[in-house]
Amino acid sequence: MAVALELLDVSKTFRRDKEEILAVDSVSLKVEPGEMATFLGPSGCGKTTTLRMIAGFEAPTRGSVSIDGQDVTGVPVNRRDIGFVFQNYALFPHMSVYENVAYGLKVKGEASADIRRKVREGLDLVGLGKAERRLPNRLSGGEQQRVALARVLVLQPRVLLMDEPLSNLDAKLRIHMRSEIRRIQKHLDVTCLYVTHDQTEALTMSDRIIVMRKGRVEQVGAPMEIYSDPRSMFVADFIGQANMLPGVVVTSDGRALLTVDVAGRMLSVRAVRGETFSRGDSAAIVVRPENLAPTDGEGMPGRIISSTFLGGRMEYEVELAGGVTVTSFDPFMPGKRLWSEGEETVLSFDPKAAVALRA
Amino acid sequence: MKNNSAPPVRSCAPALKRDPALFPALAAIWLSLAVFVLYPALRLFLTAFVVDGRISFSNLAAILEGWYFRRAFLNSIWLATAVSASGTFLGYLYAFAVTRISMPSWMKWFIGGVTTLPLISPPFTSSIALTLSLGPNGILLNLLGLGSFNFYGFWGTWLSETLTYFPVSFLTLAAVLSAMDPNLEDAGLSLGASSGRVFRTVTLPLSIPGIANSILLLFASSLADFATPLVLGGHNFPILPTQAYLQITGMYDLRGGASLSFLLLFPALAVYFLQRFWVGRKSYVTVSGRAGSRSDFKSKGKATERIVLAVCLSLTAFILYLYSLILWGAVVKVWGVDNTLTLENFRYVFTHGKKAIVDTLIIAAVVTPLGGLLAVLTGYLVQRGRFFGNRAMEFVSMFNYALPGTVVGIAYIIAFNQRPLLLTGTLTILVAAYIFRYHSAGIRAVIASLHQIDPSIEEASASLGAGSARTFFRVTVPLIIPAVLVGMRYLFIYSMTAISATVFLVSVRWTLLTTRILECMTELQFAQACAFSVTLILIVYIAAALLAWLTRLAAGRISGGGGTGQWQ
Repeated sequence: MAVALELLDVSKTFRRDKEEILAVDSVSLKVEPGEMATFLGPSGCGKTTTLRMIAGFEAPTRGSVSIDGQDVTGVPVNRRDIGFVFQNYALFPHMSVYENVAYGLKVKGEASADIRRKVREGLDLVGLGKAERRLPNRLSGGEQQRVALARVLVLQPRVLLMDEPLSNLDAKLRIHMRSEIRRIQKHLDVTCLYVTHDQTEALTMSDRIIVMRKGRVEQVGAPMEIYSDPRSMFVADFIGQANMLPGVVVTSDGRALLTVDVAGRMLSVRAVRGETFSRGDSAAIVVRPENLAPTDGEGMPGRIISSTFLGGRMEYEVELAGGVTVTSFDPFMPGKRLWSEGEETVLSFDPKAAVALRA
Repeated sequence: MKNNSAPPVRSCAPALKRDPALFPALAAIWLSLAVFVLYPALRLFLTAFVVDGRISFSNLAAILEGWYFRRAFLNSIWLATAVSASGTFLGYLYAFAVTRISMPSWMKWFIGGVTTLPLISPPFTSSIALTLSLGPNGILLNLLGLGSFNFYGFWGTWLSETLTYFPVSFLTLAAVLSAMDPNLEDAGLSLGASSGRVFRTVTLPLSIPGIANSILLLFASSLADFATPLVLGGHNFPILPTQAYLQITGMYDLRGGASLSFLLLFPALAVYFLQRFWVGRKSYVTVSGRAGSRSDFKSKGKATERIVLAVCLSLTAFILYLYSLILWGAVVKVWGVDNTLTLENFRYVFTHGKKAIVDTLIIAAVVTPLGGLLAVLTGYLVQRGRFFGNRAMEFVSMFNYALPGTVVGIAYIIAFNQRPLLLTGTLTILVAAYIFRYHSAGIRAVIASLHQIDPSIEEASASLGAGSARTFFRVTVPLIIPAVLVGMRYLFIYSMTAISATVFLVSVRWTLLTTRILECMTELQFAQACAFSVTLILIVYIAAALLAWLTRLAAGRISGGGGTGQWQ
């Protein structure tokens, strides 16, 4: 496997008021050429610090960063050949759109005819061909975002680094720019590392997601894999919504299938990928609310605590017989049976949709 | 990781290693600070406190034994207290009128414009005008039938300094009052309080840090003022700066002058640090950019409004009257005797005074760009450079500004009157005195401006391949140009008008417009003094307006409407 970018045991310690803060803790990672990998995690999890170490804005306390097989740990930013898109875009306010995009090309000392051509191409690529002469503060947020993107893309960087580039845009524009960035990234086949705290952004744009928590990598995987096989409760809860049912393993075929005793009911579920259980282990069964529906048929008995209409679906909070409270989403349709507060119900789910984690 | 094998590397020192280009700048700044700030201060100290090779307080003791000097000390403190009280009161009144009373915008503009007149005029202006109207045979005295009133002394000095310095208070307090969230006052009113009660319980308490700031600023200004008491103090009201001046120029007593200046220096430094590090940082006002909507301020009660407006407008009229007196004095033959219109006085200015005009312009033309450059470098190194001693550099850079001008002048004349640094009588000493005393405003503006530039803008430049020098000149400098121009305007105004330090340093070879005005005043050539003042005020106004226009132009290009919030 070719490697465009590699982090090897990278750590970063900040010192603030004589107190040491471990911002990034032994992160190792390989990214393939042309891949779009996303760092996802809550604020303060170390994802931005990691990205800034790849860029060269911060020096790792330990470990090494390589780009295209070349160790760049001690190389200053301006010689790393990376493109960085900032959360606030960081356009030069005193330069026109054209000058902003031409800046890096001029630094490289390219011929002015080439600069002109490349800036045109870059601005056309992001759909801003007509804004050349304008100053950044005359542009909308989305347009500034495109200029920032064009500014790094014209340099054909080895790696494109993006630090929460959509977080300053309004919701509609964010959705549009999401697909726009992904389209351009695929079109240019550029390796991209993307930082976000927005799970939808990560799920929709990435080839792979790196979930981070407290400076550590919690899980790496394709979006669907992360969603269907969360390796920990943290991942399950951070990406999408998750219900957790505690239980004890009764039978196990060694790897894939388990029978778990949950509050006296036997449930057959799948073990999470890469985990083995044996009889007597305690387990946590993760079921997404959309896979848990109240019915009149077979399943786990419970009582409706609250019932909320959300437009496309009903959201029920249900207290199960064992005392655990879970959430259930039921698609809404006129004429469908609705449940109201205080009613007794039964929750059923498809065992394929549930997965058992080690508790 | 908490293991010992990996010592944490925090980039503190490597700023210099990363940017070797910083080193020459750093060395040049420290060298110039050593020569023009630290060395004179040291020499002043040695002159005052070393007697026969050992440290002694005998000079100071001798000074304190003289009742005349003791009175000068007490007078200085008393005058500064009175001026800071009256100036702050007037400043608050003006600030309140402009920010809280609805008036046509031309009136706001007019009040603001007139109050800046004393700020950029040479220090004698109000003294001359007051002498003409309230001095012996003054026209206002005659008009009021108070012919025998002796205006020289405390009353004249106090009145003149109040008029000169209250605009400082006005600007400080207007900033505080207009930054105050109007919702707070609206909330008070909506809770049923009367407008007077809202003022007493909300507006006034919230302005207290601003008021304290203003009091300290005016106290320091008055304590250091040299020109006004020299003209209006008279023999019965000695104060420290003028006594130190007379001690040196009249008695050639450097030791006595140095000791006197220490007497002045202690209260001045105390007030400066109190202002800068305590009150200056204390503020209830949160500038969040988008505070509550600026609602129309509610009526404060018609009677109060009328009284405040009446006071402000009559004071504004009085200032205008004083300035028109100067203009009038400049175009009549002999003040008070022969009121025939003439341009004779201006002819005098442009013949006998030509050297002073040219010299002053040369000095200002050298000081302004050089001081601006130094302010950019110092401000940048202090704010962005992460190296040892950058706070010390800031402190030393501000030092001459914190000292009263008289003290700086005496220190310079002691330090540069002998080899190896024999500079008295040269252009260099005047330029250095102005730069190191007045580039502090530029440094502060640059630091403030750098604070506002998100570091990501400079990081963006680096990530696009630019080295640190390119980033500095192509990205950072263009963005702080407005701040640099503000600093340069300040340098220009003061190198045209300030006198307290440089009065010790002028010579036959290099002279100043301000010292020429002083000479005219002491020789009772009022008409010529007026003509000089008018000329000086015009030059300063035009140049200041030009620089202000350039600042707006530069700022307009980089700020403007819209934006992402990265650049506010």
